[in-house]
Amino acid sequence: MHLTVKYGPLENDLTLDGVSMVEYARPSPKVIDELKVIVGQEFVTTSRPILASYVAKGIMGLECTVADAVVRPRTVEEIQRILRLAGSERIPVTPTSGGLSGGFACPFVEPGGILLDLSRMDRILEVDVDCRYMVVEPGVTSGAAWSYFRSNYPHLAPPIPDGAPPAATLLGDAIERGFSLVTNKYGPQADLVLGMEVVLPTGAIIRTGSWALPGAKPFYKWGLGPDLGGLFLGAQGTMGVVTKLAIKVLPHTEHKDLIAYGFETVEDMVEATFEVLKKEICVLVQCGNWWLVPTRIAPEAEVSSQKDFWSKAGVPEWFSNFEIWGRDEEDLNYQRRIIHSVMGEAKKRGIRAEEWKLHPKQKASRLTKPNKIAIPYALFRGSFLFITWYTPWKDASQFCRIAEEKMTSYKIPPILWVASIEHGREAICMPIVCFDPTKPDELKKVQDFNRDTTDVFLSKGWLNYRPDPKIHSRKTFSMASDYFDLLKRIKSVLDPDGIMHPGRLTLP
Amino acid sequence: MTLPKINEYESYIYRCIHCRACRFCYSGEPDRTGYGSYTGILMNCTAGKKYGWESHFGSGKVWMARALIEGTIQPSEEMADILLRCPTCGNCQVQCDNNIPTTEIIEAMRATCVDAGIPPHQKHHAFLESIKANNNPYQEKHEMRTSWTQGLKAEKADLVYFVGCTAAYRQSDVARATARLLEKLGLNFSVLRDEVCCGSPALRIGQISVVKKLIEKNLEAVRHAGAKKVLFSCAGCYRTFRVDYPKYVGELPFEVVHAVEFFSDLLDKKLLTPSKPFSQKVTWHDPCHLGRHITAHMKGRASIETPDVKKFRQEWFERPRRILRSIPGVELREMYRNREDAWCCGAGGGVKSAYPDLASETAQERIKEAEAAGANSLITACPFCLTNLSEAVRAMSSNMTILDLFQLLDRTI
Repeated sequence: MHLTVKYGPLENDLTLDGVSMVEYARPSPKVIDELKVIVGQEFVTTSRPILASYVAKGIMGLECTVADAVVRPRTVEEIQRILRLAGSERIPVTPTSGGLSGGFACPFVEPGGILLDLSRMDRILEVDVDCRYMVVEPGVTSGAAWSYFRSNYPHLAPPIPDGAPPAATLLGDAIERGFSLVTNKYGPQADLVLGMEVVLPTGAIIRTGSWALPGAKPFYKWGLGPDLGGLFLGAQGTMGVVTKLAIKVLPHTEHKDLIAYGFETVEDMVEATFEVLKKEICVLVQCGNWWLVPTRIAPEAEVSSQKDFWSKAGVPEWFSNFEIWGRDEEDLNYQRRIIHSVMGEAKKRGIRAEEWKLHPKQKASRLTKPNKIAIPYALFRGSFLFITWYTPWKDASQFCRIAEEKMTSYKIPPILWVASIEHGREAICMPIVCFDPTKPDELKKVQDFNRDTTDVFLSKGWLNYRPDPKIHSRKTFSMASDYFDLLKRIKSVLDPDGIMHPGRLTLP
Repeated sequence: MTLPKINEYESYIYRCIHCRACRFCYSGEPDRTGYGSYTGILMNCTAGKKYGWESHFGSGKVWMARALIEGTIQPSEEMADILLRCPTCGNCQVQCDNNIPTTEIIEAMRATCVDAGIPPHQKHHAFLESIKANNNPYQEKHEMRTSWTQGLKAEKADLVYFVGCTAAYRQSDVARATARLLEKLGLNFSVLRDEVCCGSPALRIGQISVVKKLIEKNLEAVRHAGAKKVLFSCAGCYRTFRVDYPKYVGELPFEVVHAVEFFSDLLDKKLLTPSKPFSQKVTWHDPCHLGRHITAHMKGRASIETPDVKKFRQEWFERPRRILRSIPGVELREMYRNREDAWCCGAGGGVKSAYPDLASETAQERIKEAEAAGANSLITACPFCLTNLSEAVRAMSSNMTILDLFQLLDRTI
C-alpha cells in the first residue's frame, strides 16, 4: 500500500511552493523477511499489540503514528543494511534510542514504516579519563551510566539528563540538545558532544569532530573544516541514525548542596537569580512557581490547588533552587556565601527575597541523579505536556507572565518552570500543561493553547525545544523560509529517498 | 462475580507517561551500592529482560491496554501470549511514581482476552480442567489432598491451616514442617478436610469464572471448621485470600495470616525460640505474593504512602529476616535486590507451566544473585518459589541449598 504525503511549513495548507510530495510504502511481507535475514527472526515484529506498546503520547507531544514494524538491530552493519533496504523501498524509518528522554520518538507520518528500536545497542564502549569523554551506544540509559561511573570512576560523572527517569538515554538526550545535570554550567547537553558516528540513509557512515579523521580519538568537537555534527543535533532522527556518541564526562564530587530562595514576583525571581548566575558558580539553577510543589502530589489531596495552604506551609509564590557542587566543604561554603550575599544585596535593592529552608528530603530528591522528579505530574490531572521554549534569561519573567495569563484564560493550572543555561546566558522556560487525557475537549484545549502561545512566543523571538511538527515546526519554518529551504536541500543530499523520520521537522 | 474490566482502569492507564522507570529496581536510588555487578539501578523486569520488546515491560503493557480501550487493537491470541509471558511479579507497580496498578491492569487484560473467547494456553487449559475436575491444578485426585497429614487430628479448632495445592501435592515437606511446628508449639489447630484450590492459578491468568465455586467451597470449609483464623504457608494462597477474596465476597468472617507473620509474632512474644543451629550463610528470597503484592495492596490507590503504611511495609519485610536472625548459626546475607525491589523467582502468573524457559532463566538469575551475595542457602516462604528455585539449582548444578522457612524452623526447634 502506498500513501502520498505532502510536507511543508504552512499550518493549514501543506502545498505551498517548493513543498515536497513523497510517496511512502509500508513494509511488504518480502521486506519483513529481508529484515529478519538482516537482524534475526526474533528481532523483527509486525505484531499489532507489540506495535501499540511503543506508542507514547504526553510529555513532549500528543500525536504519533503506530509503526508498521519494529526492528531491533544490534550492530552498525545491520543498521546500514536496514536503511539501504528501506531506501530502496521508500519505507519511513524512525530511530529511537530505547529511552524516552523527556519526549517521544514515534513515527509521525502515515504509513508509520519501521521503528528502529536501538535498545539492544547498550554498551559503554570507552571511557577516556585523560581526555575525559565516554563513548556510548544509543541504548545506554542514564541509570546504567550513573551506576557504571559510581562503581568505576566515582570522581567523574556521566552527563545524564536531569529530571528525566533512569530509562532516558544519554545519546537521546544529547542529540536532542536536552537538559543535563550540569546545564547551567556547561550548556545544553549537545554542547558536551565531542563526536558522533552516524549511519546515513544511504548506508554510508560518517563521524563528526576530530573523530572524522581516521585513527583520531573523539577528543575535539570540531572536525575537518566546517563540522557536520550540528546537522544531527536537534534533527530528531531526520538526517540519519546516530550509532555512537562521544561525550564529555565531568568532575564529580560528594560535596553538594541545594539552596533555595523564595520571591513574591517572577520579576524579582528572574532579577535576583540573574545576579547569582553571573557569578558562574552553580551547576544547576531551576526556578518556578508554587504550583510545582502540589501538582506532583495527587488530585486526591484536596489541598493540591489551594495556594493559601501551600503558602502557610512555607512554599513561596516563586522560587529558585541553586544547586552547587564543591571540591570540598570549604569550596561549598564559599559558594553558599556568594548566594546569600547576592540575595542580601538584592534585598537592599527592594527585592523581596527570603531563603526557603528546604527539608533534607526535598534537597535529597533534587540532588539524587538520575531522579524521578518529573514523573508524578501525571498524578495531578492524568497527563502532562512540557512545552519548552528558549529565551534570553532576562526575558524569562515576560515569558512567565504571558504563559500564566494564557494558561489561566484556557483554564489550565499555570504551572511554570524556568531553568538557566550557561549561567543565565539563556533560559529554558516551560509551561507544564496538566490535563485529563481521557477527555477529547481537554486535548483540544491543550493544542489550542499550544498554537496560541506559539504565535506569541515566536513573535518575541523565542525558540521552541523539540518542536511539535504540526504546531511549532510549521510556524517556525514559515517565518524562516530561506533556512527551511536550505535545510530541505541538505536533507535531500543526506537522505535522497526521504526515509528518515519524515514529517518530524516538517521535512520530507 | 467479575473482576473490574480493563475500562475501569482507564484513568490509571492514561496516567502512564511511558517514562519506563518501572522496568528497574531501585529506580529512585541510583546511588545505592551493592556488590559486583549488583549495584545501582538494575533491570528488574523478568519478561522485559528476556524478550526485550517494549510490550513485555510493564509500561508497554499499559500502552497496549490504552490501545485496547481505544479500540485500535483487539483481544487476540497474539496479545494473550504477550500478556501471559509475565509472572505478574508487581515490580513495575511498586516502581511507578504515578501509582499505576499495573499488576491489576495486566490481570484485567488477561480477563478481557478470556471474555473475548481467546482460548487459554494449552498448559493453562490442562490445569484449569484439573482444577474443575480435581480441585487442584496438578491432575491429582482430590481425596489425596490430605494424604500428607498422617497422624494429624482433624478436630474443630479456632486455627486452621490452609495448606494449598503445591504443599499438599508437590512440596508436602513444607506442609508437614508447618504442621509439626504448630504441634511443637502446643497449638490447637486443624487442617481443612474439604480445602480446594484457592483459585490463584486461575485468577492470575484471567480465568475468573473458574474461581467462583472455589471461593464458595473454601469459605464453606472454613465455616464448617469453625475457624476464626486461617493460617497459610503458601504465599499465593495467602495473597488470594487476603487481596482477591474480599473483592468478590466482601470482608472475610475470619482472620487470614501467613505463617511468616504468625511465627514472627510468636518469636517477638518469646513463645518460639529456635535452639538448634543452622550454621549456614543464608539469604532470604522475598516471594512476590507475600512481599510487594501485599504492601502494594496495603498502600492501595493513595499516591502517597502514609506513615502507617510505610511502617507496615518496613515491618512486613523485616519479619522473615527477624526469624532467620533468631536461628543460631545463621549468617544472613542479603541479596542486592530485596524486599519490594526483589527479583522474582519467575514461576508466578501462569509462567511456570506455559513458559518454562522464562521461569527457569529467571530462577537461575536469582540463584546467581544469591551466590554473589555469598550465601550457600536460600530460604523462602512460598512452595511455588521453592519448586522453581530448586529446579534452577539442579539445572545449574549449583550447591545452593533451597529451603522453605518452615522447613528450616522445624529443624531448629
